Amino acid sequence: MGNVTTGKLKYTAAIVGIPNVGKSVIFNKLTGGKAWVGNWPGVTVEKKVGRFRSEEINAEIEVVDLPGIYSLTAYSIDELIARNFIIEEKPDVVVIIANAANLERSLYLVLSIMELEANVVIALNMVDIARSEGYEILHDKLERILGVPVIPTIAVSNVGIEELRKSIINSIKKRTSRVKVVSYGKDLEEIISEVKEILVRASHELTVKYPPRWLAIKFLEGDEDVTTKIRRYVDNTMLTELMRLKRKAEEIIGDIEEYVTEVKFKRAIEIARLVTKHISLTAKMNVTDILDTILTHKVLGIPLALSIMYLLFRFAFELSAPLSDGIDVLINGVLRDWVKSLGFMPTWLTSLLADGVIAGVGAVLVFLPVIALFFFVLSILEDIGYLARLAFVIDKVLHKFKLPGKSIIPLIMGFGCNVPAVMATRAIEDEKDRKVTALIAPLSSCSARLPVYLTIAGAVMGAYAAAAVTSMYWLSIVLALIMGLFFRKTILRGPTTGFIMELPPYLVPRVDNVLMKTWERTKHFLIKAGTVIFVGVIIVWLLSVTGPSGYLGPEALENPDILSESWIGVLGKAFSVLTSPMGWDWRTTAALIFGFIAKEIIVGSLGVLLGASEESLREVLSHVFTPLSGFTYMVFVLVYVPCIATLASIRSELGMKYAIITALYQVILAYVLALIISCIGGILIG
Amino acid sequence: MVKNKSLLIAASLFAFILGLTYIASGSLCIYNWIVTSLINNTAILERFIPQDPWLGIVLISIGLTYNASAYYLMRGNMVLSIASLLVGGGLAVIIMSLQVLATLAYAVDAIITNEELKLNNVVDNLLRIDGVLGYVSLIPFFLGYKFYKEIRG
Repeated sequence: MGNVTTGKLKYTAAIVGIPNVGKSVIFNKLTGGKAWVGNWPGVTVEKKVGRFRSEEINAEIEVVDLPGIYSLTAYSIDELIARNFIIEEKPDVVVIIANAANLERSLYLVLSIMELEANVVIALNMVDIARSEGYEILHDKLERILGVPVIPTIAVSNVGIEELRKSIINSIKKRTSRVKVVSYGKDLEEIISEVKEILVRASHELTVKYPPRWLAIKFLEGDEDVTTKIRRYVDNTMLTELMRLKRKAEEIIGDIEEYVTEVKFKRAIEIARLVTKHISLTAKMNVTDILDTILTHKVLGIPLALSIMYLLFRFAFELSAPLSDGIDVLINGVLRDWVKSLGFMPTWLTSLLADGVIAGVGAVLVFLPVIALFFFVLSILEDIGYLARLAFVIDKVLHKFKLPGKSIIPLIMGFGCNVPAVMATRAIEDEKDRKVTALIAPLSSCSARLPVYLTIAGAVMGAYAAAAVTSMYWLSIVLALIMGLFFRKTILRGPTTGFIMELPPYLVPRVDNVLMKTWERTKHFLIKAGTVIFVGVIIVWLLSVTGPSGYLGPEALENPDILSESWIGVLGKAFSVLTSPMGWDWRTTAALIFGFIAKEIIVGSLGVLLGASEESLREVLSHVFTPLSGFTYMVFVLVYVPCIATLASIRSELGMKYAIITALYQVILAYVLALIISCIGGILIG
Repeated sequence: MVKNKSLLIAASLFAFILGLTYIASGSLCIYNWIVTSLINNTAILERFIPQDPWLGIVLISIGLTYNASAYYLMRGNMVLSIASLLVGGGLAVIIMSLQVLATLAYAVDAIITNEELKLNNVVDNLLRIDGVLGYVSLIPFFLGYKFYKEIRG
């Protein structure tokens, strides 16, 4: 642990709090919004690190944003990450963001973290909301009871941030930590002391590394992670003695974990009661109560959820048109013409740049405004607090399909990207629930598929384009539910678990926060366009200008007869035997092959194989597809094999067997669906 | 408490009638989509009622929410009645604003791509059913907001 007297140049502050407490806002305010995003070692849970400088101690404070958690059990990966970081990395200060509007829940986490003997500072956030609900938190009294600094904040309005920064510095200067935060009663306390003594005697290394009292409590609770650690350091005789004490405690108390949770929660409620002062005699009706009566209504909740999702897509789809056209004019018009006019370059290089890179990457980049607007509205819905309601409303439907309520979170995340969606299934405790959710998560229509829908729908659906694109999202949800039920009734039988969720209060979204989230999410799309898609379109270009007979030249891209002799022609024609019942051109079939790398590459490949800019691509596509074959193509793209990154994450989460199952069932399902839609559509249209 | 209960009754009644109009319009959107896409028939009032099933669902949802305002007032639940006015009105106003923004986007797009800006299209877009009903919805929305402020005290 660092001490300012040691003259360290860098200190670490960890930020932790329950979900929706304003943790990210405080992180951004402290660090000025500059963050390095990576993964926690060995797992793919996002890790955000930022910095701020303190002249007072002449050092840099590294701020680590820990995952949003409710407790410190070993059941979910997020909670394990947080507690292991606090114990093993020993940050100089742990900043706990508490919710003043729901103090009991936050205090439970505060007490759990204090048991880790961490140097704690509490940011009591949302004091304005607590006040609007008719009560005030006496932060001085809370500070006295807990023995740690408590700073009231309204993070979204920048209130209390400077005081919090000062308190972090002060806490670094004079470290404090409390060993005993909660008393678990005479009987259990005696056993805790005995276990602690044995652990101290057994291994000095172990008790220096981990707080002994916390180790003792967790061991008695039966925490698997802690028990494994103890086994590593303690010999068999002492372990037998420890097990005897554990049994003794169980005989007296019963379920230790349940008892410890209950005592700690009672203490949290007691403290909350002591520090809460009611400032109005009658509780005021707040906007959250009023809106929730309708937005989470048992009858109106679902149609309103459908309406709000429609608004999200329509906003992104209709308002992005001028911006997309502007980018198209710039990239595929001005830039492409300029590259083509450069006479000093060899023909192959001009073709590679103009017909490969610019046509391919450009065809994807024109969708940047759609993606950005989509994430913009999604961030607004998230900041308002509506996404949590959406999960709550849809939870009832999920249970009818034997899916766990918690699976809604990965499914919603999947609309952004399937990779974090698969990772998010770790929050589901039950193994079968987790597996079934990971298997259906790739059916969520990720943002990478959106450019494909927009291109095809824009080309052949006319006035129905927005409706067709929206249909893909609803179809993805319906398919996920059906496949979930299918897996639940076949390979993953068993009961589903319940879902406890805290609904955050409705808040007016902050422009800076929404813009930052939009940028964070859109940035991934831009990075992908500059890396994976860039390489992908070069491969497509190479396979288009070469064939079994050798180099065919850039002419192949202008002459379909020559193109059909290329490698891509050979591949496309081979696969088109299967796709001809759906009425797809062999070039559109070939583009699907590359969608395995990343779904956006399909548009880039179509750009290279069929034409050029978005406008001319749409023009060509309107001749290649009919509305029916275009729609079946969209459905196929929605369902068929997930991208390579998603498959890799399924492999790392569930093993190779499940990655293969996912790839196979999705390809089969996509093919069968496309075929059925083609047949039924053909009969209806005549 | 609401200061003028008669005004709340009048607002709920107005919302009820508006709700029925929304439900009828939403049903027509779905009907128009079915007849034009699947039966090859002519759509009803096609200039003003789009052939969009999802918009149909949205309009019906708004209509049901408006109707809930009258339903809950009849059952004596003032809070739910006001909440229905607020949510139904809010959603209707957002849909209308989106239609106005989409019309603006169409105009800007025409300028960027150097295409002819058809004034007829602009007027048709602004007078589309979700636009027109949205302008009318400003009344229940603002009344709902006024009642909300009153019950918050």
